[in-house]
Parts: sequence; structure tokens; C-alpha cells
Amino acid sequence: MSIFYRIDNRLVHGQIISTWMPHLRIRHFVIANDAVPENSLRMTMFRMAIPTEHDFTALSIKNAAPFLNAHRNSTESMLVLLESISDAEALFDAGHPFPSLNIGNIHHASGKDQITNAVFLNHNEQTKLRSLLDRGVSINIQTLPNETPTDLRRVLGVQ
Amino acid sequence: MVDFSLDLALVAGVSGLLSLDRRAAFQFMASQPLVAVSLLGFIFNETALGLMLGAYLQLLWMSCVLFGSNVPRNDTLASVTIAGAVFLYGRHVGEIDPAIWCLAILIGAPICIAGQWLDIKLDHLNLGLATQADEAAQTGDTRKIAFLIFLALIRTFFANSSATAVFTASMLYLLTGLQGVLTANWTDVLGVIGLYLIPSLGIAVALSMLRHRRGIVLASITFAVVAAILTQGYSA
Amino acid sequence: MTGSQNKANAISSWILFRVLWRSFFIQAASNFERMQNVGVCFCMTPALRALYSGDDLNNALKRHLQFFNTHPYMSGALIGASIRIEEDIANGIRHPDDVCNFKRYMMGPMAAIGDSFFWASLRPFAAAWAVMGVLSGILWAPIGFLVLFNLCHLGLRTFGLFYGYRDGEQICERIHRLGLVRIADRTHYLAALFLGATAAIFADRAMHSQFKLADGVEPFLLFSMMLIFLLGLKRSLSMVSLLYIAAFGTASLVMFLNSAFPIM
Repeated sequence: MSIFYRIDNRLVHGQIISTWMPHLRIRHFVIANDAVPENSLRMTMFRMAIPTEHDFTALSIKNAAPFLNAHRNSTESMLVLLESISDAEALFDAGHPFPSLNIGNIHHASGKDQITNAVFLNHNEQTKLRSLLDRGVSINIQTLPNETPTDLRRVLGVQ
Repeated sequence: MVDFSLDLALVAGVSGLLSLDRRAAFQFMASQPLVAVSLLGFIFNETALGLMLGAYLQLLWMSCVLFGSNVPRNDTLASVTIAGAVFLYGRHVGEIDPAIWCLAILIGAPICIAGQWLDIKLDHLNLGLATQADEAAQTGDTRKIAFLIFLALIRTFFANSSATAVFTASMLYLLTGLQGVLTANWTDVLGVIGLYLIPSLGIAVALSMLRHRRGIVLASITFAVVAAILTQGYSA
Repeated sequence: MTGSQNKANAISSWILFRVLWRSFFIQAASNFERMQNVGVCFCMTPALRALYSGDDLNNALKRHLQFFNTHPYMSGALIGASIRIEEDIANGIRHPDDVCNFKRYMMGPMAAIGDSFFWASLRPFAAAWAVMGVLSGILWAPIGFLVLFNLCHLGLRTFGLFYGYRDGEQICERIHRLGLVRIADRTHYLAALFLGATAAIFADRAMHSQFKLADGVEPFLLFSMMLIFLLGLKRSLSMVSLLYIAAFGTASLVMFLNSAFPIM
């Protein structure tokens, strides 16, 4: 089983296609987001950004959970992209408890603390992440494969 | 001394301009090591050496790519500093032999990390500009926004050219000092490094950019074929 | 004549040229919080000033100071299309949120296309060719690199901006039809060819230098070192640390050989 989970505000972008895709040998991209499947322009754009020999599926979070459960034992590598921390929590609650989570980029907004150069978290998001950590998810912050990952426990000061 | 200062200022100035091309403005890729070092070699009348050194450095820093929010190692600062120190050495100290430029690459390689740090610092400084732009937008002051862009460019230019001046001068000092204590043994070591180690590392860095495994197989086959042709050509 | 008709012709080619010129500075004030936001606002200014005045202008400027990050060469297309949407907003056809959503949704996929075409494919490909050229005696190879790369760069930037303005959101479809992602994939194989040839030239140089070893060993040595370094890089070791580890190893080996076999 090799499903990778990543939170990235821009979903599919250069870092994903040019670095993570070859690094993890991803065959199948899954976007779990409630808005994307209904927006045909965004769907076209994602489809054209991902090379044609790779599969691409976009599902609402409710449908993504059973889909991912069904693919749990598939042999091909899969990358699940989530837009925000709330989406990640929603996916977890919808019946797909993932074991690990990578945080790539979370953009700045007012009231957010800077965690790393690419990750900004507000208080609410930090609480959600803490609860995911408590439920046994191992979470790290890593923008590119050649960077050293930062363990979220250390950043948030959780034991 | 005046001559030397002028040459150093020239290196620093060229480096500042190239640093703008790297990220802040235009992005014509004149800041790629191959072009940057060839240009510097042309300026210092060392065209052949500049081209060759540029090719080595280009391979070593082939994988420096600016993906989104990620700031990579600064290949431009490192390669311009290395080349600048080598050319200044040729003008003001003594003859440039392979040992000298190998030594320069060995000493200068970590400058790319310093350059990355500088880029990150500049990015943090630009935060202030974003805040000022917000204020300017409140009053529709478009001139102010244009001025902020100009300010960011000037800042990048001066930060990079002063860093180049400092690094080049210190590297030249090191090269001059080390050149005196280089025994025949050390010249051998540097010669081997320059002939085997740096090229193979450079090719490896460039190959690591390839997306498919088949690419590496293809490169290996080409290597075997071309190497065979080249050796045949000499023995015939 | 009503105000809205005036605005329909407000964007002249001259203004688009000014936007194009400004788009070269899109990353000047890049910052971690909102990336290219100041740059985009700076680019859009000539167009926004032609469309709005007073409070409308201030609001439009603020719209374009939101987070924005895409590939700098693809920014032409996004900015061109944004100007078209802004024009519609000024004419009251569309809602201001449309332009923000368009930029927010498109910047990621456009960055993916730009990064994988320009940074991860075209540049290594052109650079590998130029390095091979320089080493085999083509002195103008760096200029060739610049011309090849910038023909694509300037072409896409200009095409993107003007067609983006003409077609609005449909520009994405047009860029899709260029098939950049597929071309990018092909250039990797060509780059591999050039790199293999470059490695062979290096091997040849080593064979004809004063440091040549036993007959014909050099290519194998170079090749195996290359594979070892490649493995190291795949294990996330950095180029600089590999350089130092290997340099230290070489120094110890040569020193040992020279002291053990002084005649050599």
C-alpha cells in the first residue's frame, strides 16, 4: 500500500508534478475537495497539468473516503491532495483514517502564525492538527522531497 | 591596487545585474552558470577558460530550480564568485592552472548556501513592501507601488553585489595563500578532482533531473557509444 | 454614448505592451506571505487605471494584492485573461469575485505546466546541449542556449498576454492545446542523450591527460563514480556535501598511493 497524503493550498502545481511525482513514482492523483469536481474549468486545468499517462480523480470528501478505502491495497502509488486542514480532518472523520500526512504549502492570511517559509497556521488549524496528532496521525512539514521534513509535534510542542 | 578594486567592482556589478535576472526581473536565464561565467570570461579576456568553467559549474548546479515558494541554492552567486576569483587571480596574482580553478570550486561551492540564505532574507524584507503596497492601494497611489518594485530591485542588486565583492575578495586571498603551500602531491589531488570527480558529480546532478528511469539507461548507452567512437578515432 | 461603451475600448494595444513590460518584474518584490502579489498589482496597474478611477481603482488594486504565485512565464496568460475579466467587471457584466477566483484557481495548474515545461525540461535540455556544445568546441553554445530558451519564454509570455486578453478564460484551453506537458516529457530523453555524450567527452579528456590510469579504465571509473553520485543524490544528499566527501576520499587515496608507490 502506498497512498501519500498532502495538504497544499494550490493542489496541483509545479512542486507536485516536477518533484514529488518522480520522487514517489506517483501513478494516480486524487483530489479530495468538495468544490473541484463541480468546476469544469478547474477540472480541465488539473487534467492538463498532470501528464496523460497518469490517472487523475477528483472526488468530494464524502465520496473520497470509500474510494480510498477501496484502493488501500492497490499496488500503484497514489497521491491524495487536500486543500486545507479542515478538508484533511473531514476526510479522516468521513471514515478514512490515514496514517500519515504531509503539509506542503498553507498560505498566509491575517491572524496566522508563520511556522515555516511556506506554512502559515491560525489557532483553529493548530487545534485541528493537534487533534489529528492525538488520533495517531504522523504529520510532517516538507515542501520538496530533498528538504529535511520537520516533525509537527516539535513545531507545536506536543509530546 | 586601483586596478584590482576596479576589477572587483566589475565582478560585483555584473553579479548584481545577473542576480536580478535570476529571480527579480526578466529571467532571461543569463544568470545560469554557463552563460554568467562565459560572460565574465569574455569581459576578462579569458573566453576559453570561461566557457569551460561555465560548463562545469552549469552541470554542478543544474538542479537549482525555483519551484513555487521554495528557495533553492543560489547557483548564480556561487558560480560568479568562483569564476570572478579565478579571473582576478589570473590578472593580479599568477597563471591560472587547473589546480587553481579546482581549488576555487572546492572553496566556493558552499557559497550557494550563503546565497540561499541571502535570498530568504531578501524575501523576508519584501514583506515590508507588501504591507506598504496595501497602504498605497488604500489611496490608489500606483506610483508608490511602482516605487516599491524599484526599491526591491535596487535592494536585490546591492545585496548580491556586495556579497559577491566580499566573497570574491576573501576567496582570492585564500587562493593566493594556498597556492604557495600547494605541493606536487596536492596538485595531483586537485588534478584528479578536476578530471574525474567534478565532471562525474556534475553529470550525476544533471541526470538526477531526468523524470524517467529509462532516461538514465539511454544516457548510459549514449555514453558507451560515444566513448567507443572517441577512443576508436584516436587509435586509428 | 454611455460610459460602458467607452470602457469597452479602454484597453489599447499600447496598454497591453506596458503590461507586458511590467510583467518582467512580477517576482521583484516576492515575499513568503503573498509571493508575487505586489508584482501582479504592479503589472495590472496600467489596465486598471484605464478602467477605473477613484474608489473603484483602490478596490481593484486591493483585489490584485491578494496571494498570487505562478510560473513567471505563464503570468502573461493569467494577467491577460484577468484584464479581460476586469473589463467585464468595469462594464458591470461580471462580479469582482470572478477575477479573484480565476486567479486563485488557475495559478496552481499554470505553475505546474510552466515548472514542468520550462524549469524541469526545457532549461536542463537546453543547458545540457550547450554544455555538450562548449566541451566539443562550439563557442557560441551559450548564446544558442539563450536564444533557444528565450524564443519559447518570450513567445509564451507575449502570446499568453495578448491571446489571454482576447479570449479571457478560454486562454487555458489554448495553452492546453499547445501540449507543453507532452513536449516536456520528450525533451527529457534528448537531454539524457546530450548528458551521455558529455560524460563521454569528459572520459576522453581524462584519457588524454597526465592523470590517465591504465588503458581504458578511465571511462569505467568516471561512469561508476557518476552512478555512485546519482545514488547519493537520490538519497537526498546535497551536491556540496557529496563534493566534499568525495574530495576528501580522493585526497586520502592519492596521498596514500603517492607515499606507497613513490615512482608513480
